[in-house]
Amino acid sequence: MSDPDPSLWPIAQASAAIAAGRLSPVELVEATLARVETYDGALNSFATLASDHARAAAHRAEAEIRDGRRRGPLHGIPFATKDNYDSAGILTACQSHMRRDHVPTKSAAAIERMEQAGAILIGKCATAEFGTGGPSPGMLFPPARNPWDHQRYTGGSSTGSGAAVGAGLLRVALGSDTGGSVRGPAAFCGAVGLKPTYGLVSRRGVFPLSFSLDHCGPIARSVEDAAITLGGMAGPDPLDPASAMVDAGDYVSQLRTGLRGLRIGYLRSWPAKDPITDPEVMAALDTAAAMFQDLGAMVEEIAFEDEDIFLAVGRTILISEYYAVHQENLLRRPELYERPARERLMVGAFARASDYVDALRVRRRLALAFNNDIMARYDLVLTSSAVRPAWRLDEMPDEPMHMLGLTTYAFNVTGNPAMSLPSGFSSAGLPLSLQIIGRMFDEATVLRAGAAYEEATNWMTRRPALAKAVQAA
Amino acid sequence: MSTADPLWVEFSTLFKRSGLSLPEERQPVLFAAYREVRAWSDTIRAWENPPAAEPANAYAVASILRAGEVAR
Repeated sequence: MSDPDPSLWPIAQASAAIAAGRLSPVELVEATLARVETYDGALNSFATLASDHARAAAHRAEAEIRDGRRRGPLHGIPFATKDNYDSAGILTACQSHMRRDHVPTKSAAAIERMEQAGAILIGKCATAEFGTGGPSPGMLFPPARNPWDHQRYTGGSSTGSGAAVGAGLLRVALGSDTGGSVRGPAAFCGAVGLKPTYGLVSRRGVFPLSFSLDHCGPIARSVEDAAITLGGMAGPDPLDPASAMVDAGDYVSQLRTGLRGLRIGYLRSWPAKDPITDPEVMAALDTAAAMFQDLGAMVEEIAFEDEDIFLAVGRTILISEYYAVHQENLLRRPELYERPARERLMVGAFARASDYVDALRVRRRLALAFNNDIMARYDLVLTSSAVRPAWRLDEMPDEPMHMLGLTTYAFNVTGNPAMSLPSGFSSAGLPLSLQIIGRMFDEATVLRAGAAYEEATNWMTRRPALAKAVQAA
Repeated sequence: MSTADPLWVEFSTLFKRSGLSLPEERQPVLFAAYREVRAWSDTIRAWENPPAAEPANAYAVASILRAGEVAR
C-alpha cells in the first residue's frame, strides 16, 4: 500500500499518478515543501528553499498536463540541486560569504534540462564551501547534518543533497562529484549516488572545483529514481568544452532484466589494504559479491594498480586546477573564505607545472589501462564506496588534505561511470555502501546491476527516525 | 619540525613566494600538506614518462569550433 505522503513515493509511481490525474504536481510539491519545512530545521540540508518558484512551476506543470502536454516521467516531479549549480533568480552562494549576493540570471545546463523535462526545482542544498571546505560553523549557511546521527558528517561536498535524500525529504537532488562528492554523501547518508561518465552531463553553470575531474550527477532514494533523473540531466552541450556530445541513453527499460551473463570484477584489494577500512564494510562487500553471484552474474576477484597512484594523480590535478580558480581571491580577499576551505585551496600553491603535466600524462595511461584491460574483460567492477561509516564530526582530522575513506577518486581520474549504493547497516545503525563501476557511457548496465541488488536487499526501505531528531533539536 | 629541515625551508620559500598568508600556528598543518604534495609527485614520477607520453588534456580544436562561437 502506498504511503499517504506522495513526497515519499518513488518517482515512477508519482509520475504515473500525475499522468493518470490521480495526483497533481501542486499537491506533490506542497507535500514535499511541507516535509522539508517540518524536518529540515535539524538537518540544515537546504541553503535556500525556493517555495514561490516551486509553486509557480507546479501550477504551470498542472496546467500543461491537464491540457495533454505531458513532457515525460519527470513532469511535475520535485528536485533540488547542490548550491554550486547556478539557478536563475535564486541565490547561488556555494555556501560562501564570497557569493552571499550572487543571484544568477541563467540556470546551469543540468537545471535547464531538468526543467525542460518538466521537473520542478524546489531549492538549493547545502554544500561544502566551494565544493571543498568544511564542515565549518562559520559558513554562509550552517553545515548539513547526517540524518542517521546528527553528530556525524554527511560526507561531502554535496552535503545537503545527501542529507535531504538520505532523510527522505525528497526523492532526488543533484550534486557534483570531483573525487567522490556525490558518492560519498550517498554512502554516508544511505542513498544512491551516481557519477556518470565524464562529459555525459554538462558542467556548464556549475561553479568549477577541478575542470577535468568535475562530474554532475544525481543523489536519489533508489536506483530507478537515479536512472529516471539521469535521463533528464544527460545530453550533449556544445558550450561545455568537456561535453562528450553523446545523447542521453535509455537508462530505465533494462533496469529489471537481471544479471544473467554479466561479468563482474571484484576489486577487493583496495578496501582490504586500507588501514581504516571497517570490518563491517568489508563483510558487507563480500556478502554483496556473493549476492551478485547468486543473482546470476559471474563474479571474480581481480587485481589492478594500487589505489595510491590514482590518488596521487587525482589530487595533484585537483589542487592545481582549483588553485587556478581561486588564486586571485585567496590573495585579495582571503577573509571571505572559512578556514577549512581557505587552507585546502592554498595547498594548490605548492603544485608545480611539471607536477600537473606529469599527473595528466599518467592519468591518460591509467584510464587506458583500466578500460583496455579491466573493462575489456568485465562488464562491471565492484568495490567499496566508503570504507567506513560516517565520521563523527568531533573525530574528523583538522587538516587540509585529510582523506575521508572513500574509494571513489580513481573513477574521476578515469572518467568511468560509478555508482554508490547502500549495502547494509553497521552494528551502530549507520549506512554502509558499495560501488559499481561500468564501461564508458554504459550507465544502463551499472544501473541494471544496482537495481537487481537493491531489489534483492531492500536496504532502501529503511529511513532514519526524523521525528525524534526534530524533538532532540 | 626543525627549521633546518630542507623540506621546511623549501615550503617556507614557496609559501612566501605565493603571497598567501597564514597564522603561525597553522603553518605546521600546511607543511604537512606540502609533504603530501611532494609525496604524490614522487609517486607519479616513479611512473616513467617517455617524451611521447601525451597528457590527458591535449588541446582539442573541436571543442572550440563546435560551440558555434568561432566565425567560419
